[in-house]
Order: sequence, then C-alpha cells, then structure tokens
Amino acid sequence: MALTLVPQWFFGFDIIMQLLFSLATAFVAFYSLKLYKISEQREIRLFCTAFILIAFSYLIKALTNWFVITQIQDRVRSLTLNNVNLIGLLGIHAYLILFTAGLATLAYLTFKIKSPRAYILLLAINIVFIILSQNKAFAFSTLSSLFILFICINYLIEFKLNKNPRTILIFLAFLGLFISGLDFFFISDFYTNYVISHFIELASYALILTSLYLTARKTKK
Amino acid sequence: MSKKRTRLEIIRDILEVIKSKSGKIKPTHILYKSNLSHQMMEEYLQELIEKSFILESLNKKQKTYSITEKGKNYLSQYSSIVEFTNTFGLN
Repeated sequence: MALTLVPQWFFGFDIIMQLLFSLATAFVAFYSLKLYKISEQREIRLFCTAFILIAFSYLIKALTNWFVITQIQDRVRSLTLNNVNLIGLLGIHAYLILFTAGLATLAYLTFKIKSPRAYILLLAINIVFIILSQNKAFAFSTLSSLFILFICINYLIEFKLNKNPRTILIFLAFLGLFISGLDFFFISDFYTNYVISHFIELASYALILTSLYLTARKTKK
Repeated sequence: MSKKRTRLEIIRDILEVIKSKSGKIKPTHILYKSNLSHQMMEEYLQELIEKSFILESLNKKQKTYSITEKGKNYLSQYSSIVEFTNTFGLN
C-alpha cells in the first residue's frame, strides 16, 4: 500500500515500531483479560477483544512488511513476484480489517448499550466497506479516523464527568492516533509524514501504557 | 442526593452482605441490605450465580446463598477493577 512512499532510511524501523505497537496493545489486552477473569464484566471483555484485534493487526502489518521487503530483496527465493504480491495483499487486508474491527469494538463500547445485533452490524458495515471499496487505503483512513474521532470525543466527555487525570491521558492518546492517521491525506505531498505519524503513534501508545501503569499503581497503594 | 450506584458497586454490596453473614444468607436479608427492588435483586442474583460468584442452595424449602472463592476474589480485587473501568470509561 504505502511501501513506495516509505523513506529508504526508515525501512526496518517502521517494522520494529509496528511490533512495539503490537506489544503495547497486547499488554493492555492481557491486563484487561486478567481483570475480566476476576470480574466477568462484559465491558472489560469487549475492551480486551478490541485491543487483541488491534495487537494482531499491527503484528500482521509488521510481518507482511517484513515478508514483502525480504522476498523482493532476495531474488534467489523460489516465490514469484505474483505470490509475494498475493501474500502482501492478504496481509494488508487482514491488517485493515482487524484494526478497524478493533476500533469499531471500542466505538461500540462508548454507546453503552447491550445489543449484539448492533455490534455485528457495525462490524459488518466496517468489513464490507473496506472489501468493496475501490480505494482501500482511502476507505481505511476515513473509517479509522472517524472511529478514533468518535472515541476521542467519548473520552473527553468521560473526563468531564469523572475528572480522572488518567482518562485525559487516554483522550490525548487517541487524539494522537487521530492526528497520526491523518498522514494518509497528506502523504502524497509530503512522504516524511509517514515517519512522523509513526512517532506520534508511538507517543500515543506510551500514553495509554502510562495511564494503565498509574491505574495499576494506584490500587497497589 | 446520593449518587446512583454502578453495576460494579451493586455487585460488591451484594457480595459483601453475603460474606458478612458467614457465607449463608436468605434472599429477604439480601433485599433488605442491598437496597434493591425485588426484581433487580433477582436479576443480580441470577447473574452472580451464572458467573459462579455465589451458590444457591435449598434449605428446608428456603433458598440460601453463599459466596464462592471467585466471589471473594472479586471483593479483594474490587478497587483494581473500579480504577480500570473508571480510567477507560467502561462503567
């Protein structure tokens, strides 16, 4: 998708960063799974599911990027370019669907309703929109930006209600993810936005982990 | 006016009541102590049985409830759960 627009010197770094995003989101999922096992609260289960989906999406994105780059560079391998292209496409599609499905799950959580049908409809619209779209990159960026903006607004409202400083960190994290997602809309003019967006994403996940750490530390006191 | 209790708080209150009665309690006592309507209490008790937080038993045709290890674990980890749900807006 954006392989040709990645600066040469950033090859490899982006894959490492995507693996870090995967680890960070997997850690959030693991912590929430631990609390879900104790509380069996539906909201915590959905939150855990959302972060598992996002963690897998980053893992698949990193592995796909790594696979495509190494296969293209290594011409001795028996795989044809068509096969590489097919595996790359499958990986990118899996990333697009898993990432937006994770965001759709987080957005559904903000509705504070218990309706499996509404959740399935949200996921179905999301998947169909991406699969049938002519310009998948544009569909993905638009959809994920909308979901993240929606989640951002929700966390701002939550902060106004509970005045919890850790909630504002989550708001800032999603605001960062929203800004980083905007790189696509400007990438054709200024390709270093790809690099900047990765660093903003890194800062966003660091904020989520900080908030999680402060939450865990508070209960241990 | 007191703030409306969250689901987590109501579950904690019910479990605390059951635990305070040495593990065995009648539904009327839970109703009195948990400050819920009869229908709400029945729904919560059903949920807690399904989640294995409490056990229901029949004693001389009278239902009694006892807390399980899982229920006790919920009470001990309650503050962690509340802090997490508050931070991430999962109430």
